[in-house]
Amino acid sequence: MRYLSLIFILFFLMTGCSSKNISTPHTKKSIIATEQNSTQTSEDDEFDDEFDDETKEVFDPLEGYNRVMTNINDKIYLYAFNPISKGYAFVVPKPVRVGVSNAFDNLKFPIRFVNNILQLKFDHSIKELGRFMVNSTVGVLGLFDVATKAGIKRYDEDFGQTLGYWGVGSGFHIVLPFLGPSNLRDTIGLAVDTAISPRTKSGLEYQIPKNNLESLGYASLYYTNKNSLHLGEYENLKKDALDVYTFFRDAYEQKRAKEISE
Amino acid sequence: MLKRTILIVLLLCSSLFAVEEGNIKSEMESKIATITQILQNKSLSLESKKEQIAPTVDNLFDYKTMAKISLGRVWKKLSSSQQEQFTKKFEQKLKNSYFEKLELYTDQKVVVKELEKPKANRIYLHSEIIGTEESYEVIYKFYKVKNSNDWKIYDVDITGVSIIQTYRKQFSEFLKTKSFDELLASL
Repeated sequence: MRYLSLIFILFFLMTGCSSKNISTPHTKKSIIATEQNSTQTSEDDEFDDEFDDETKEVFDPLEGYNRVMTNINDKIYLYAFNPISKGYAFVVPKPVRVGVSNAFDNLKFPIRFVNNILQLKFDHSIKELGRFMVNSTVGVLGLFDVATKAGIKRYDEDFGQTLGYWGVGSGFHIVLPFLGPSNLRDTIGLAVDTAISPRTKSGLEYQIPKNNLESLGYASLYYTNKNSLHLGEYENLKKDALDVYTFFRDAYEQKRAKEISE
Repeated sequence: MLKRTILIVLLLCSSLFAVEEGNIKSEMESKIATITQILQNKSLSLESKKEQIAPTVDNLFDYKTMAKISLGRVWKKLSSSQQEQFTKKFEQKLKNSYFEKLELYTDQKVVVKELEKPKANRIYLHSEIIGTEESYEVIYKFYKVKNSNDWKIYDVDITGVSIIQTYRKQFSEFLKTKSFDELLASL
């Protein structure tokens, strides 16, 4: 049974690879490069090489489910999560929320550290180690991001990006409950990152929560706090969409392709 | 009232200069500085902020080219009056969307970074919006207007998401099941 699901996943990752190729930044770059050599194309098609073929079908076998889940997430967000975050923002002053956000970001250090190494970005992982040491001590357990102020920036990498770095395609799009847009590759990535995250419980020594309930508590605080610093953004973006589901799906896939190319 | 008129005239004048290759960075830096200043002015209402910002950005964007790219293949099938109608609607849509985004502004800083020239008639201006706990990379994509020294923006890329690419996909999906007139009405 386990093998069967493994084969299933591999199959979709591979089909993901082949269908995703057209829009990976690497091929895009080579198109631009070849265009540079040739003389200017006719004015009409001048820009077409820089943009994806709009008629290209997106491989989206879960579309039916995804649309339903997008709708459910939208309602959860607007009627539960957003009011809670607003209340939280009203009670907790902004500098404290920024501090909490910094502390959580600092706790994500193992994820960034490991994934930078897995992508052979050793200089970045060393800088991440430096950031963690400085922010955990001088920055009072990560509440203050003194490293960024000193000019050492954060190098966000996750396991989804690591898979992408090694050529694994995005697979198909999946809208996760509560968490929103993702795809097969990034869902696997998320599972791996969650397993090594200090704010979850999977049996590792350094993990903070003692049980699943505490782990849920940390997750709730993390997302509520994060959202309280980004109030109104979702509603604002949603207004740009003709079709909310495909809008967020395409935006998500574009953003991830860019993050992986960096 | 008079003060405001003078200010608007001044802003209009400052934006009348065509953006040329040599001054893309400095022009954008000064425009962004102007806009940030207006946004940070607490004595202004949101409406008057928008009024003052509008002329600063107006002749920076090539709305017709943006409209053309966003429609892809469909563009050529349209009559010139339909193209014009669409361009007008799309311009309004982009402006509304832009002004709505300004409502989210709190205290972010915008830093203009480097220029990139991927080919002879393209320049990308990289910039960064720096917030309290997160920063966003924004790329303004300029192209050289044919037979002139003017450079105009044809796309803006925010954290890897191209605005025009996103509209292009949205419009194409929409037109699969609905008509062009319905698209016009929905903008």
